This record gives sequence, C-alpha cells and structure tokens, in this order.
Amino acid sequence: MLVVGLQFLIWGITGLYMVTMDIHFIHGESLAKPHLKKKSLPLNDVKIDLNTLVDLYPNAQNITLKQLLNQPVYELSFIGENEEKPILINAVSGEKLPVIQKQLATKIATHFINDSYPFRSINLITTHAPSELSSRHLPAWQVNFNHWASPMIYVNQYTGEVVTKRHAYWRVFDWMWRFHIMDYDDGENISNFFTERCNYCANWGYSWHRSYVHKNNKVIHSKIYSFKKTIKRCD
Amino acid sequence: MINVKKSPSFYRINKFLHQWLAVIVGIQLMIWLATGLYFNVMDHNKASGNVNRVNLSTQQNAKEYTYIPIHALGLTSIQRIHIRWILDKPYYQVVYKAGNHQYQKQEQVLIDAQTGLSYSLSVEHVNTMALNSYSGDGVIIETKLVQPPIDDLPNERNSVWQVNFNDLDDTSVYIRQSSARVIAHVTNDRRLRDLMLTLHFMDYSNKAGFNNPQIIFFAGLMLLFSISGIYWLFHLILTKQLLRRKKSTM
Repeated sequence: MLVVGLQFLIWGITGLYMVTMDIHFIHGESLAKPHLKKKSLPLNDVKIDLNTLVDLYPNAQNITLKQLLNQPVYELSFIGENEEKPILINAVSGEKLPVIQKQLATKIATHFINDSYPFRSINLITTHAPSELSSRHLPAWQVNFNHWASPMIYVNQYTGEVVTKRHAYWRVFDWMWRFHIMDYDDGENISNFFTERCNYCANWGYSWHRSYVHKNNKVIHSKIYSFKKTIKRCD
Repeated sequence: MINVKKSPSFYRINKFLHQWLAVIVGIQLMIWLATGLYFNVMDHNKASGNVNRVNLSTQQNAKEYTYIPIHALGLTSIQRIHIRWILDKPYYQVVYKAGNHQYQKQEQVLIDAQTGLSYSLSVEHVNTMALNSYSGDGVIIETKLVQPPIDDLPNERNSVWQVNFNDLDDTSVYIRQSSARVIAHVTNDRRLRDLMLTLHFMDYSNKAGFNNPQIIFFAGLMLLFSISGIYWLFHLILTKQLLRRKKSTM
C-alpha cells in the first residue's frame, strides 16, 4: 500500500469524475443550439444537378449536398494520387466557393453555439493541432467564446463543418483519463509501462492488505496464496 | 502534520470505515484491477475485431452514370444527401434526421441515383459486401436482419444485418440497414474485450456506457475507501507503528 496507495486515490478521484459526468455533455453536445438540427435543406433552391457537377469535377469521389448557413452547397472531396483538398460549390449558382474566411467561420460558430456564449476571439490553426483537436481536421478555425468554461468551436477551413467542440469539462476529463490510465504523454496508450506495473502491484498489494486487516481469516490467506501464484505465472 | 494522538476516536472511526468499505467494494475493486490489467496486456489489434477487415474502396468514375435530378425526387424535410457507391453503383443516401453519433437512431433512406427508386439491401448484396470487407478463410453460414438490442453491438439503435462466418474467431460482420455501411467486425477477441468493459463499467444493463447509478455509487465508495486508507497509512507512518510492526515480524 506504501507503493500504490496514492495511485488508488488517483484512480478513485479520476474514476468518480468520469462516471459522474455525462459523456454527451463532456463531448460538448450541450453547446449546440437545440433547434439547429431541425432546419431542412432548401431543395427548391438547388439549381445545379449532379450530372452538371460531375461534368465539372470528374475526379470527385465523395459528394454531399448540405447547408452552409441555410445556403445549399455541394461538398466535394477527392481520393487518389493527386489528392486535392475538399471544395464547396454553391448549389444555386454553381460557383466554387473560396475557403472559409475569418468572418464566415465566426458566423458558422456563433450560428452553431448556444446563444448564452458571447464571441471572444478567433485563430486559424494550420499546423500543430492542440491536443483537443485531431490533426486530420486541419486546417481549422478555433473560435473562442466568453465563458469561464472557455468553450471553443473548431470549424474546418475547407468544408465549413463544425468538426470539434470543447469546453473546460472536456479538458478536465482528458486529464482525468490520462491520470487514470497513467499515460502522461498524450492519453492515447492504455498499455503503458506505469499502468501495467502499478496494476500488478495494486493487485498484489490489495490482496496483501486484506490479509493484514483480516489476518485471522484463513480463507483469505489461501486466496492470496493462489493469487500470488497467478501473478508469478504472469511475470 | 496530523496530530494523531489528539484524535484517537477519529482514528478508530476511520479504521472501522475503511474495513467496512473494503467489505463492500472489495470484490468490485478486484474486478476493476483485474479488468484494468487485461486492458493493459491485451492485443489491441485483435481486440478491435478488425484483424480480417478490409476497407471497401469507394473510388469510382462518377461521369459514367446519368443521375436523376435530386429535386425530381419530391423530397421534403431533409438535412443532407450523400452520394454513395454501393457495389459500384451510385445511390442517394437521404438523411432526414442524424444523431450526434452513427450508432444513434438514424432516419435515412437509400434511393437508386439512376432510377430514383427506393433501395433496400438484399441478402445477396449484404453477403457480397460482407465478403468484400473480409479477408479471412471462413465462409458465410448465416445472414439475418437483427433489431436492437444487439448483444455484439450494445449501443446500436438501428436495424443491422448480421453475417456470420465459420472461422476460428466466430467472426460476425455487421452492416447497417439504412446506410448500407459495414459498421463492425466482431470476433471472440472483441467479445472478450466487451465483456471486460462491461465488468469494468458495471454496465449490466448493456447500454455501452459508464454513467450508470451502480458505478457512481461504487466509485464514491472507492474514493472514500482510498481516502480512509491513505489516512490510516499516514497514521501508521507518523506514529511509527508501521516500522515497529515490520521489525517485530523480522
């Protein structure tokens, strides 16, 4: 217990935080406006059909008709050796839209987020994604809002999609997860050296401790003996 | 520093609390430690179930086909439309209501983009897709449409096709009915991992989550158990009882 006692405490604190916080809330789903998903795609406004689109962009592989701030747009992505970046096409006029600029990214984020969060600042991230954003979403606009929980909305610069939403509860959760699995690097490896050794010690230590507390209980002693044998076999 | 000599009653209460907490959380604590150790040492590739999974290529020449215009389909109240390639043919995947996660209840349909007719996966197409996504030695022994709750996919809320292979891993390939996507390969290794997750998360109602009342209760007790244990340990160190006990046993 001298060796693993503190880790037991860390597992207790981090475990309790993670199970009491609703995982959907942690994922930032409460940051979005509740009515956002009910808006329908204005199909009557779509003037460019798919035949025209594939004539103009024959290399397009994934095509999606969606809304960008209530405006119908086609999102095209490409696969292959000459991999091009995704593009947006205005589904009414057929013109290719420029990459998402600062003002539009701000509009997208403020349109997405609950009204109670006032806008604070915006940054473009093109390289070195912060740990809370997957690098596959780069380049992305990081839109910050004024609130003690520092909510941030990440908007992809090519597609205008809200790709990630984060707040302080998620960041605390992320640290709790790292401490729980003892991965102090990036929190992505649950098979790390520290957790493995500590877990062996904890299994042994907990068994020993129970025998210490209930030293007159012969049944527990015999169980610990067999458990120690198991641990030796694992080593 | 803790003045332990002035608080003997608190020490006794703490000791009593720690011992009884050990009785209550002891078995679950052993389960947490044992399953935690399993997560450390397991083969992550095998446990994912994707050992024999092949990604289906979507690269197509879109210009080869003539498409029914979307506005001619008479669709209303839709959120988005994806152009999908299923067994080398184009389809409109019309999304009426999408959840935040794919496993949540989806309201979507597939429409043949060349004819405008509604499309539903047939057993033949399901088997072809499952075989295309599978690189193992087994052959298909059963194909069936299953409804949630699904033992292998506890969080899935949509109808899925289950294609069972007769290989050593008892592989089941799952294809979502509404989107015609291969969503999972489930093998015995993955089933063992899922069982360990169920035990670790105390998810006995099989909802694939860890926000359930029983784990919150036991996690609270576990924290109290740790705090009382740390206090007891410090008490033993500060009163030099720990060293004395060790010496007396030598």
